[in-house]
This record gives sequence, structure tokens and C-alpha cells, in this order.
Amino acid sequence: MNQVPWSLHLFAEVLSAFSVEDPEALRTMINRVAEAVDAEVVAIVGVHGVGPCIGVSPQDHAPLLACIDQRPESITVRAGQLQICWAPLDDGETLLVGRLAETFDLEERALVRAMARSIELSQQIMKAVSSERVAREVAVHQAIHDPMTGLPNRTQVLEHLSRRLADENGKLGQTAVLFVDIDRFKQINDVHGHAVGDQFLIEVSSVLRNVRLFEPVIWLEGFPGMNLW
Amino acid sequence: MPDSLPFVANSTEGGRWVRVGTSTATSEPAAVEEAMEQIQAHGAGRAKLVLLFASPAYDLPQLARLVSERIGAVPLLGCSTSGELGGQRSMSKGLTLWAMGGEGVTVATGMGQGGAMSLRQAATDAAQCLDRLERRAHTVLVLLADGLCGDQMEVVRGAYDVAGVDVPLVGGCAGDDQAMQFTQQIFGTTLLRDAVVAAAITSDAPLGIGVSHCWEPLGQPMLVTGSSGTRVVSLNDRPALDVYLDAFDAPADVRTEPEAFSAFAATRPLGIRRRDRIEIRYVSSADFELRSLITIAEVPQGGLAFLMQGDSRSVLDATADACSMAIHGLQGEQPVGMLLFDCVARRTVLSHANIDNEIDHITAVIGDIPAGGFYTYGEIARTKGAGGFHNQTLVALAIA
Repeated sequence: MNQVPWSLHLFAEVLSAFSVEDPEALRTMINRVAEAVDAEVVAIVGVHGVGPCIGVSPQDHAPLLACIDQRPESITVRAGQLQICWAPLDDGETLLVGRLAETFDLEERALVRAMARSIELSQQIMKAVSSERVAREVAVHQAIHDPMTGLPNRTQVLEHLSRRLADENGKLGQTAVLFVDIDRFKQINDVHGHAVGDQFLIEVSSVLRNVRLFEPVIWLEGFPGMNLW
Repeated sequence: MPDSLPFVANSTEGGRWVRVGTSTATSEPAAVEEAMEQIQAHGAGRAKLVLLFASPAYDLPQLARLVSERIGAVPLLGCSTSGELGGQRSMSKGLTLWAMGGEGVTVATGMGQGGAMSLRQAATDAAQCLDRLERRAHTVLVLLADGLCGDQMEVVRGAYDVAGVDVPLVGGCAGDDQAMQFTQQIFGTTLLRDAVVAAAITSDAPLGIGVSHCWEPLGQPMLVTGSSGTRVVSLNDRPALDVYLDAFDAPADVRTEPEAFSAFAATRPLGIRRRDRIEIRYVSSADFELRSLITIAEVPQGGLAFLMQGDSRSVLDATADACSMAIHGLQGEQPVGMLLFDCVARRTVLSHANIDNEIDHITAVIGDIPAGGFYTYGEIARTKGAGGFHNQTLVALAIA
């Protein structure tokens, strides 16, 4: 067809698989593997079952699961004899690539392994990106919420008030602030201990949060709650 | 409503039949009447599926309603086109009705709708009709998609998620008389955009699929060093548009005017390397500012791409190849009909003067069996592997 070796093309496809950045990244990647080597079936299989898979419907996964331990070079599915190329992945999982009729040559097997490694790296990057995103969300949440009650803290209440008042365009009469104080709260702490006092505040916060009329409920240190409406 | 229910057409004894009706009448009732007359001209037999391929010059909702009134409960699918094939002629601003029925064949239909970001899911939804089908020995899924909505590889991937290795895929992308604005898909009397409609056909007899393009590479392949979705940014680390224009020695107007570029690119596609073949990618437009090429389906970054060239001879060779391949796929059974998905750019290569040559090449292979279809913005044919989106290609489905 041309002078460029087939292996170069496959290697290029490895890079291609690695570059995927969409929400369905893993599924798209296994599609790319299939398209690169003209395979009909690609699946990630492990002891927990069959993960992302194309070419075989879930009700026909049994032949794939049955051969995980022995890793045969071919298996029979409804469409015929599937020649299999196996490549290890992280966490005991394996990339299974199946092609009807034609066996994988040595070069293709080596390069399917390279693709598997590419998938591993992509998964690791995606996991790292996901973990970093979660950590950032947690940090943002912690910065603007009271750790005990989970209610928005002073930083957020001031920001919220400023925004609310700005939205009202100077019509202060349409916004009101309600301060809720708990009488004799100190006695709870003194008689039952601070742990019970904290629990009591959490319960009060929960009750206030569930009263929709008073949303949003905001925690101010020294005050059980302040509501805007 | 006309008293033609149940919809009947000529029947081949004990087997399946295909009938094709065409019209270029400008009024919708006259066009439907003329096409239906051709289908119903002989004998009797209940249809299992009717496909309507029609120019957007027609009032398509009215056409769908008129056809539905004539065929009653028979499933109707279809789409807008950029030209139609049928009745041993190639048409513009006309319509083709393709009907199939008889014994030993069953059909289920489905649809899915979604924008560019959910095209895969739309195709999956449409392909779910396979699950409602009690399969016979041979099954195929026919897909009609909106070719102007996102990466068309996603249509194949989404349908393959349901069809799997057992069921081949064929089909084409709807057209709009080359206005490149929007296309429509027909599901019963409902007109859709951004949609995929599907017909799962299962038969006791073999179903043959042929696919061929016959384009030839111009020079050595290039590494796709930058691409994202349907945008090709760079080839061999140079701006893709500059590489393309220089390699084809494009005239001055093609380098600056969008319309001139599109006309020029219609006969100069890209080819992407697959294991044992080259798949064609239609270059629909250029981004003169970012110096990139826009295609109908993905050109994978990291893959190899060719600049492709062809002429009327290669188009006609592909026509004969695809039809022969489809007939060969019937494993010796006699064909009763053929469904054709023919890229509109192939017609551009042939030009008006030579367009009948394509019909002659089809007829030379299949004889006088009924054949019909339309000129597409992309073709689908998955018979091996998991891919199967094509451009500037002829896909033929032979029915036995």
C-alpha cells in the first residue's frame, strides 16, 4: 500500500489513544485499539468480570470470563472463531483484543501491549486528575463552611450578603437578616459536656437547614444561625 | 386517504422482494403518486419496510405524511438527500421510494436523537431495535444519520455497541442538496434533526455488502501531528491547510474563498490508514485563519493520512467493485434488490455529462433487479473490525 511500515502506523495509533480527553475516554480508547488493529472485540477483563467492552453484548460475556485464567489464543463466540491477543493492565486486569479469522502476528502482539501500557498511563493520569479535582473541591468547601455543622461560615455569609444586597440594587427593604440565638445554651455545655453541646448544635443546624423558608442558613461563630430571605 | 391499504407490491414467490419507485415531479402528491405506482405496478405482497429518500426541495413532512397514508402500518424511514438513485437513473431534486417485503424477512426500526456531543448515544438508542428482533440466519442494521452533526465515527461506535460483531452495519448520512446547512431524518411521519434512524433487517437468505472507493494516494503518507475531533490541525508538523493546498497546487481562489475551497476539496479527500485499507475522509471546509482542515469524521491524531486523488474512471471502477462485492456476498443466491449509499462527491467527480455512466456500471453488474438509494454526506459499512465510517465511497447492500 505504501512504504511506511505497518508497525509505525500502530505505534502512531498508540499515541492517538493516549491523547484522548473526553468523558468517555476509556471506551473511546478501546474503540481506537479495535480500529487500529481491525479487531472486532476489545474488552478489559479481570477477576471482577468484564469492564468496558465492545463487540460482544453483556449476555455473551461468558466465553470471555471463562478463559481469563488460561488465556487461550482463540475462543469461540457466536460470530465464529476469535483470535485473541492478551495484554496485562494494572490491578490484575487484562486487555483482551479479539479478531475474527486472522491471528495476530508477533509485531501486532508487541504493539497491543504498548497500547495496553498507553491505556494504563491514561487511566493513571485520569485518576490523578480526578483526585486532584476532588481534593480541590474539598478544599474549597472546607474554606467556606463550618467544619462542625457543615453550614456556610463567616467568609461565605459576608460574600453572600454583599452579593444579595448588590442584586437588590439598593432596595434594602427586600432583604432581611434573621439572627437565631439559643437561650441557655451554655447550660447544655456545662451540664452535659461539650460533646453533647456540639451534637445539639448540629441538630439545630439540621432543623434550620430543612426549613425551606429560611434558606440559606449560615453559621456565624457565636450565633447558631442567620437566615436571609 | 387512498384505498391502498394494506400496502402491496410485486411478490417473488416464496421469497423476498424489493421494489423501487422514483419521481422528479415538483408537487408532493404527484411525486408520491408516481413513485407508489411504480412500486405497486405488479402483483401482491405486503411490504415490511419502506425507505424514503427525498430532496429537501420538497415539503418533507408532507411527503412523509403522504407516503405513510399509502403504506399504512408499514415502517417508514428516510432522510433528506443531495440527489437520489433509482429506476436506473440518477436524479436531482427528486425522490426515491425503496420498499422490501415478502417471506422470510423481518424488520424492526428505531431512532435516537442527540447533538454532536451525544451522537454515540443517539446511534445506540436507534440500534436498540435489534433487541426487538427475533433474528433469522442473516441480519443487517441499516443506519441513516445526520451527517452534519458531529463526528460520524461516533455513529458507527454507538451502533456497534448494540450490534456487536454479529451484525454488520450499512447506511449513509442525509444530505441537503449540498447547501451544507442542515439535514433531516424521517421516522414514520416525524421529521428529525441531529438524529439517527435505523432499520434492523433479518432474513432467511444472505445479505451482501459491498464497499469501494478506488481513490489513490498522492505521494507518501503523512503523520497527523495535530487533530481534534473533525479538525485536522497539522500534518508532518506543518499547518494542515498549507500542506493540502501546496500538495494539490491549488489555484488562488481556492486559497482564500470558502466556496471555491469546498468545490475543490470535494474531489480531493484525505485517506486514513487502516490495517489493510485506506478509509476516506471528506474535507468539508477549511479554516483559513487557523490554517486547518475540517472533515466529516475524525482523522485520528498520531495516525497516518494520505492526500487522495481520483477521476471519473476510479469512481466508476469503485461502482462496479462495490456492486460486485455485494452480489458476491449473497453466496450464490439470486439478488432481488439492492440499496445504495453513494457519496455526493463521487457524483461531482463524474459531472453531469458522465453521471449516466455510473448507472450503466451498476446495471452491468446487477442487471435489471430493482436498486435505489441516495447521494450521501458519508457512508457506513462495517463488515469487519469495529470501524466502518467512509466518505467518497459507494456502499451497496444486496438482498436475496
